[in-house]
Amino acid sequence: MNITSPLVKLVNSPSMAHIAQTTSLAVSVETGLKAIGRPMFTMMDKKTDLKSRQFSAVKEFIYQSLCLAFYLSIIPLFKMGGFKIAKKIFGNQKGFQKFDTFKDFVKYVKLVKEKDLPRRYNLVRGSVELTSIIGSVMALTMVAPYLAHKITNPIMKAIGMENLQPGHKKGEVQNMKSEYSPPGAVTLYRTTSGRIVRIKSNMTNNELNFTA
Amino acid sequence: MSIIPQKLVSALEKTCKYLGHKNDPVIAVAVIASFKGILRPLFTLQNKHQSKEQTHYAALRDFLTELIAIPSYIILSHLTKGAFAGKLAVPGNERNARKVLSFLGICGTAFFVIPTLCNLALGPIMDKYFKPKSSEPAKESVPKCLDFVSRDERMPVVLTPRQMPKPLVNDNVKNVWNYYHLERPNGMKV
Repeated sequence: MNITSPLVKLVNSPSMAHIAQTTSLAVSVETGLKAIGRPMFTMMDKKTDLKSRQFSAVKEFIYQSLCLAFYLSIIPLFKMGGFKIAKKIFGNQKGFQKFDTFKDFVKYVKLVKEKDLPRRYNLVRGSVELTSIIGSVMALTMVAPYLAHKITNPIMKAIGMENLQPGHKKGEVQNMKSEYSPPGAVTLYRTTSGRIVRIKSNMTNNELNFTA
Repeated sequence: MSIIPQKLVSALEKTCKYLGHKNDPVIAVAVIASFKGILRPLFTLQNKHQSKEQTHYAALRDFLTELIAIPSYIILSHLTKGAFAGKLAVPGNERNARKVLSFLGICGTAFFVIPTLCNLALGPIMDKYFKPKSSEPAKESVPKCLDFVSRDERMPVVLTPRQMPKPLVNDNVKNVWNYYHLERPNGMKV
């Protein structure tokens, strides 16, 4: 084994060990990778047309990024709350007598990471990790998708991607009618193949399809 | 705390100590995936803005994605640990190296394995359960609204309202002229 190899360094690095053993960091990295990986695979799928792929890829990227942002903003609150509850339950235990507040514990964790000290106070760590897992489940399955779903569509609209939505033909004819024609009027349109079609603004959808 | 039963307190203590000592990223990731697999389809099914078939389709897709994800995370993180821990861990640092390898396995699974498996497996499964009704395929393929250009075989592109070609005759005078002289439904013919 070559100790200087970058892979060996990565596997044995204390920072990576810290990320791997801290739920919130591990889940954040995983969600970030999903935000990159899923759109990438969507774009690689050649079975569907380019515009549909672009639409799904951008939507997935925005959705995952928003989920990550919400997650990162919510999870410290869960950790803090978890520490407080655990201190109430296990207050007489050794670990919790050492740390008065959650900030003290965070300082201790940083110190352990920097100086590569042995891990101690497993009960305190574990209670924070348990609330992190519960918080991750709540944030990533209930809160973040709801909020992200509310925000994704306005963002798609703002960046002009909404019109690429597959099957989003509803409204095209109505827009044309309102933009160009008074009721009952006939307007001539040219298709890209050069054909000229006559469209009456009060035509039904079936008549329009037949005309086209 | 006297409100909480002693049994529950001792179970919590055991769980916390286990997580503090042996926390593995696969635990959190698998728990999140299993809850996503249950809750996301339920939320999708409650969406009233889409048709019943669309919600069923989306819910089944969400469920199957997580169903693929959970075993993938568990198996691949264990495989990565088992296969590379002996080769890459520096003596004395095996424990941390195993955690890091498990984490790298999860990253690889989330980034590469799950999207690939979903691409391969979900298509045929979804086609099997959501086949278009073969009785009148032509009727179903007709779009609800007019789409001039996509119906033209030489140019299968959907134009958005913004990109829609401007009419050749688009001023009101011409339209009014058309209305009164060409399309008038009844009245005296001169």
